[in-house]
Amino acid sequence: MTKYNPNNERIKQQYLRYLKSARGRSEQTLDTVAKALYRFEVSTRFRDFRRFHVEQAIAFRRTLGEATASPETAKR
Amino acid sequence: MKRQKGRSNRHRIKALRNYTIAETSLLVGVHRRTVREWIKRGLPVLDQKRPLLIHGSDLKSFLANRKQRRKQPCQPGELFCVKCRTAKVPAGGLADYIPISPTRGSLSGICPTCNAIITQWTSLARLNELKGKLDVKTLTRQPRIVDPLVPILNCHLEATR
Repeated sequence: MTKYNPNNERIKQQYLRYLKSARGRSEQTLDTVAKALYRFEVSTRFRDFRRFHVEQAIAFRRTLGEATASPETAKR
Repeated sequence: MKRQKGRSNRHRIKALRNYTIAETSLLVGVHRRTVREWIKRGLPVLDQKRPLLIHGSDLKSFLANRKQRRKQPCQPGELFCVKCRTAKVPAGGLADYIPISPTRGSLSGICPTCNAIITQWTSLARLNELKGKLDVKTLTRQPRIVDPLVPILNCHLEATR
């Protein structure tokens, strides 16, 4: 079961709806955005978006830099 | 493509997305009232705010569990009766095996409850496991009414050349 924060999910739902309806983004783009937001939430341990702090974003970027490629990708 | 009754298209659900009831019904191919019925029967919603939102991962696991619960695997020696919708041991423990190939064939018997013919595809290897549980009689396949001696050539393929 995927973990989630209900308040964040509502905000994400509205944002994805905006991207689709107002900005005309494709379904693949929405999937990518949803996945990226999920990765950010994992790094903040699903804290409420309303309690957003710059430090969370900085820490997230650091984890992205530290993320190592899977053994299959590293071979290429 | 027409959806089969009782089967929902759960492979189109995305785990990281949220769906309203209307979106769920369109995606899965069921009526909106069916989705509300699922919620009554334990499908989790995000919170009690409106519109009700269903998390994709919850929906996926709910439908997967539902499908798993409906399955009624047959034990060795049992055949599934479509009419009674349960696995049954054929009447008198008697079954007929009709081979369709050197390794596979169909096993059929009579349902002890409704007297319908119950059939199951099986392999010769699995048939040996049934020894002692069922009295299996091997029959020969019924001959076809018209058995063409000359195989049909693919005339359409020739015509296009």
